[in-house]
Amino acid sequence: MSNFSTGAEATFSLAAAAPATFNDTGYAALTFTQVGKLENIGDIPTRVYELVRLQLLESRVTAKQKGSYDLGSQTIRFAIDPDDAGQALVRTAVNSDDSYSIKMNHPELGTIYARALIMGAPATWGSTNDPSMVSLTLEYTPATDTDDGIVAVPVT
Amino acid sequence: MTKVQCIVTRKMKLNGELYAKGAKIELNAQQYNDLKPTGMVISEADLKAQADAETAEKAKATTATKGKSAS
Repeated sequence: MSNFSTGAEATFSLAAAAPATFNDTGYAALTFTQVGKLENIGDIPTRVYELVRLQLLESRVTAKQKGSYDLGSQTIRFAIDPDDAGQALVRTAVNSDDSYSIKMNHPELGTIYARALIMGAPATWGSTNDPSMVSLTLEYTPATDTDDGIVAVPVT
Repeated sequence: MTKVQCIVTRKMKLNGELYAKGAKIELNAQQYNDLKPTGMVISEADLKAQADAETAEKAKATTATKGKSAS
C-alpha cells in the first residue's frame, strides 16, 4: 500500500500587507487571517512555462524551447460563513488592485507563501442539497521584477 | 510590534476563535489595518474619535438651532 497525502487539515490565509523581505522570515512576521470552511484548496502556485516552437524547414522537425513563465492561478472553494473574518477580508480584497500575501499550510506538505491578486469570489447559493459556496480565484504575481516571491517551507 | 485594542462590532470568527459582538480583542496593527475595512472590528481609539466627532456635531447643531430661535 502506498502512502499519500490528502488536502485534509490544509489551511489558507491572507494578509493585505507585503512582507519586509520575500523569504520565510519576512512572511512569517506577518499576521495572516485564515479563511474558514475550505472545501478545496486548488492548484499550488509554481512556474509554468510557455512552449516556444520552431519548425525547421530542412529537417521538418519542430524544435522546442521554454519561453516565459507564469506563476499560475488558483481556485479555492469554501462554504459561505458571514461571520468569518477571513471571508470578509477576501470580499475586501476583491475590490483592491493590490497584491496580497498568501499563506497555505498543510500538516505534511509544509507551508507555501506567495503574492497574489485576488481576482474574484463569486458565490453560489445552490439548491436544497448544495452547500452555499464561494469560488475564490487568485492570480499569482511576482513579488518584484526579479523575485517570484514564492517560498516553500517544508515540515521539519 | 504595535498592538491595537479593538472592539468586535459583530459576531466574528478569527483564526479559529469565535468572538461575540462587543468583545474586546488585541490585534497587531498590521492585522487591524487588514480587518478595519471589513467593519468587523474598530479600535478603541477610532471608536472614541467617532464618538467625539458625533458629540461635536450634535453640539454644533444645538448651537445653530439656538441661534435661529434667538433671532
